[in-house]
Amino acid sequence: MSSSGILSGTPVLEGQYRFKVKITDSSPIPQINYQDLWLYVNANLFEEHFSGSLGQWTIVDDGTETGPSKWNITSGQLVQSSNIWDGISDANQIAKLGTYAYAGDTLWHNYEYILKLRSSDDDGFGVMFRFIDNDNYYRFSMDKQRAYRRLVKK
Amino acid sequence: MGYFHIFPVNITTMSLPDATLAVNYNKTLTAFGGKTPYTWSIATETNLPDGMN
Repeated sequence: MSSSGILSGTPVLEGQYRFKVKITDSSPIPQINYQDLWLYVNANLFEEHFSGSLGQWTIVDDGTETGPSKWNITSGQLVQSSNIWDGISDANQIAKLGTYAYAGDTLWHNYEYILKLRSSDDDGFGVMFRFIDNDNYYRFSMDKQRAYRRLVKK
Repeated sequence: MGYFHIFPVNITTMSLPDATLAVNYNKTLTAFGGKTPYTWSIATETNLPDGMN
């Protein structure tokens, strides 16, 4: 820590660290005080900028119509450009099978992730999380044509 | 005749944002009271995480 109170650097080990900060003022008889602080160093489990291949990703097609999917990396984005779906247009039908790409490890827990999504189509698309297998996941999806946004647990 | 009451120096940073492994971290701690400038340090009996200073 710098004498001006800046805590900086690049942590090299994951963990929870407790330390005591000391402050001394400029009085003729200097006053001193302390504060215990915790610093949590978390691992960045996964980072993807889509600059290479699809090597870290697994593609699953569970839609049965107008497949297969067509995933590729274009201009730093992961793009799916086929119209694969399950042939069921009823908005109330929850399954809404199509295609998805996943990466990571099922051992990860209590994590957060950040991504950007967009679509130039009016059909459903979204994001899945806490994915274990094709029968165990959460999915938030949006569908402009069928006018819904919903979170599904499978 | 005037009076000045100087509050005892106190560190007002009570918690820190989480750090990410292998990612640069920078946080300025804050304090109140006493007479500035302050001098900060880590108490000798404790340690920062490796890589931090």
